[in-house]
Amino acid sequence: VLQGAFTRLWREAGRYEASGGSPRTWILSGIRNGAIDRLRRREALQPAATRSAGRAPGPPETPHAHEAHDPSAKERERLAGAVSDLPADQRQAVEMAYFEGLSQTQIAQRLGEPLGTVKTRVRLGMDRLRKALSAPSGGAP
Amino acid sequence: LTPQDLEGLAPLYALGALDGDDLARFSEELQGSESLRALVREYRDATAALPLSLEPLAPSPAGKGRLLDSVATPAQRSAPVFTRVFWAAAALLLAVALLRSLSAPPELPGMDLRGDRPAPSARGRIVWRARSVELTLTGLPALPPGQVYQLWHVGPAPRPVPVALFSVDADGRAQAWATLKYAVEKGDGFAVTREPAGGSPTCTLPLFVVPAP
Repeated sequence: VLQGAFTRLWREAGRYEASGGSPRTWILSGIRNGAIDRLRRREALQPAATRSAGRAPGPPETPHAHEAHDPSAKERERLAGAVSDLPADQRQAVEMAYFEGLSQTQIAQRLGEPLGTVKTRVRLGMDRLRKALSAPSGGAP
Repeated sequence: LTPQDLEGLAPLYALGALDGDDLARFSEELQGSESLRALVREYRDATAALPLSLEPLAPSPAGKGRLLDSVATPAQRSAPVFTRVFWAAAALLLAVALLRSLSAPPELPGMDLRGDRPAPSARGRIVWRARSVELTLTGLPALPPGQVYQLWHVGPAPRPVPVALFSVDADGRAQAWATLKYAVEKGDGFAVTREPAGGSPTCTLPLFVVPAP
């Protein structure tokens, strides 16, 4: 998934248009969409009972391995603060939409909440994130 | 749709969460409104906070090598290498975290849970990988309107850290998925309480579910 997504981004970099958002947003959206599409295809091919079994192991992970050399560590800390400061219900709704690719209707069904409640939570949460990101970062990246 | 309605739908559109009539009407309005497109751009840029706030995971050296080999075509280079590598690294972290959060092999580390005094028959388990958790519970009593169950991560901070809100079905079963603020460390625990709709920033007693001994 990663190799395919990055290769595609590299080869299609010329198609980037600033009117659609920042380069960072464009790249992250491409990776996210590719990963969610892949997982949806995989789940569609597997019976529900075996969905969590038999998945290929991912690449070895080494949390914190490069943190000391990461020039964006301070910025990430700021972004993590903005996300973790969201009220629990707003963060949950926003993360379900972003990381799991769920629609507003699917989120409402999973949470057992009215659709209007989910819309409000996402809107409030995204408003907070938008304001937090537009604030000065207080340090060079 | 009023301008206020459209502004309210913009963050859902930016997240890709709009569906049904909302999506059709918003897409139509978007075609003719530069201000609405600008608002969607702002919300899209705000979504970058979500992956970039996650705990980073380093790629495997082999995977990185394959990737660099696959793009080693000089004609394709149209931007400074540093910029590309920097953002590629950020996106790589996102993708690994995303896959981790949605792929749940059965051998994941986890913790058995049991009901406490208000819900003695409750049983369940929570599993995690990196900062993604999946909670499964049975035997929880239904809650009155206006209340929800809330999962807490106990241990990484002086006070329990809110994790997720969830409800139970008619059979008392519940499932929840969430991203933790802190990685699970040895000695940490999880608990479930009953809270007002929308959840609480601080934990309210009594505990409905606690770690099994």
